[in-house]
Amino acid sequence: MATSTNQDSKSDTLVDRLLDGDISVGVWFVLPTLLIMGVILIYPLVRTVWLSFHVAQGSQYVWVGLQNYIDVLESDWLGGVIFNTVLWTGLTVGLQFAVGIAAAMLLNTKFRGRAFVRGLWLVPWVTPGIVAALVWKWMYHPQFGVLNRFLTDIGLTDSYIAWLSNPDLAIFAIILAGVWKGFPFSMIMYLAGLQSINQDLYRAAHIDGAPWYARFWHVTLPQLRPVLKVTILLTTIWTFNYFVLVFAMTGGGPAGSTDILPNKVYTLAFNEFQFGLSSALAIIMFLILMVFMVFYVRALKQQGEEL
Amino acid sequence: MSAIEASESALMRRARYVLIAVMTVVITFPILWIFLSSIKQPDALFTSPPQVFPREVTLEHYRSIITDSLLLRYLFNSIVVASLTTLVSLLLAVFAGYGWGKFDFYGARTTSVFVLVSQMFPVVVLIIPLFELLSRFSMLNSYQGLVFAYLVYTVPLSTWMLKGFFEGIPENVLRAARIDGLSELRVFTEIALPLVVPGIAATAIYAFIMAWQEFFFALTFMQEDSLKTLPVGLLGFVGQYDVSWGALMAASFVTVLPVTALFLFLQRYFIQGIASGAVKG
Repeated sequence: MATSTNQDSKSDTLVDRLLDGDISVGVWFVLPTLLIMGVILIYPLVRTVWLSFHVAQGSQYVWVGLQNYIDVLESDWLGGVIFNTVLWTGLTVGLQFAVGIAAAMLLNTKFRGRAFVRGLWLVPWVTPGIVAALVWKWMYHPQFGVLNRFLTDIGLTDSYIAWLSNPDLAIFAIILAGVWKGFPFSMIMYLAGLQSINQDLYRAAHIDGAPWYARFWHVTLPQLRPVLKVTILLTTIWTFNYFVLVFAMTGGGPAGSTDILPNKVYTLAFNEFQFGLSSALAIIMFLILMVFMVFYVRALKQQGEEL
Repeated sequence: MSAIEASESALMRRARYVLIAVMTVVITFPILWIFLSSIKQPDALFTSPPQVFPREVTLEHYRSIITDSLLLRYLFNSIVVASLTTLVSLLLAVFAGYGWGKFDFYGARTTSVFVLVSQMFPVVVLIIPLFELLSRFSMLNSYQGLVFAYLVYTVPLSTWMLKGFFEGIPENVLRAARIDGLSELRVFTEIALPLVVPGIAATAIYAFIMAWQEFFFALTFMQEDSLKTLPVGLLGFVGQYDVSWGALMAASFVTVLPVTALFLFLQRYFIQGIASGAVKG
């Protein structure tokens, strides 16, 4: 992080800093963005907190204290929704890590047309989420879906499976679509990490006779650690928030078996018009996310020091 | 590298090529499937078992989405919204990235980390208040309203990407310009800005793609049919009981194609920017 800032000024008093010509100039440059972010981020956040303590009656909001939170905590759906959210987030992030690192390692080898292949492997990431949801739904179609055809062709299943209407399977079907959609980001991050590893480490390991899995375990993974941490935290946060697949593929069904937190917040508000309840759940969700955000900022700071 | 590659047996190398080929097929298949489904005869879509390659090609679905739906209108809306979002985000992020990248001021670290973290705020926490806010200022069902809301998505990472690029400018270059008597604004526009043009390109692609694929804000804030963007317009082909799969896949292909093409041409810039925006502390 090479910047203009001279580090001694950190210890100066506020008055000294305000007298310094630089200070005001920098502030003017960031001010428009800060103001806009205040309006579109801080205000909504405060407003959601406020809404979570109120209930709509006609056109009026009535203060109800913690009642919305109590209603959420006592609801019969909360346990299931949290279970699904953890399953969806955990498995999707884990698989994105595995596929991402495998893909990055393949892309880090030499072959013809590598840049083009890398571009193709990134395509899922620029595919709009709603398009991903709809095409996977079409591929999962119980009668006309191409997935069932491939699976029966190679003899893995002998009858056509209704992937998205089976409560035991639906969430895994959505997770597979989520891995497809999201793995390229991990792949690119790991690829950047791999390319910055000092090749002498591999040469040394090779001379010591370390086989490929030992090189992976003792050189690649430790060297990638900082990138891994940031990437896994970032994908965890994004996946936790990401619900267009659930929304468009199953709507949370069948029988609530794919309902996850953000989808529940959205449908409570815009299908059932329970804004207070929805806001309370949104704030609970936000508090859970805060934990990850703190870890993310900490991981970034550490990395800043290491670099 | 050479030591490792020499140690790879011919068998291993062949296995690696096969793996790369298989992965390419699997990864691109859903996009290929959108295209294949969009050019099949209507009755060929509904055979069981489904045919993989169409025996007869038809453009019927494309004709129907153009004449029987507002698809072209949705396409136009998407282009307007994504372009405006890109423009406004860049304008904000270019200034802010320079401010945070090149100056120290009270609270610089805290505010810049706040902006970085804000990209992780759940959309659903913001959506109800933003809906109220836009409706109070009569900006529901308007391009300005949606673009304004999209800044939540695009400004944070755009700012951080550009901050990284500005940090790469050697301090001496700016100092020399100041000694020559250039005003701060001219140092910025005449010296710093031209040096981060690749960063601006990366940020622009990023903002455009984000705005192009966004779904929930568009779904919630644009309820008039003639103002819908492509992602929301797609839902028009999904009925309560049945889905017009052929038309839906044709419309999906129209939605995917522009960003994918843009991206494949410009991926080099984009990759640089994303990696630096997400990792650099």
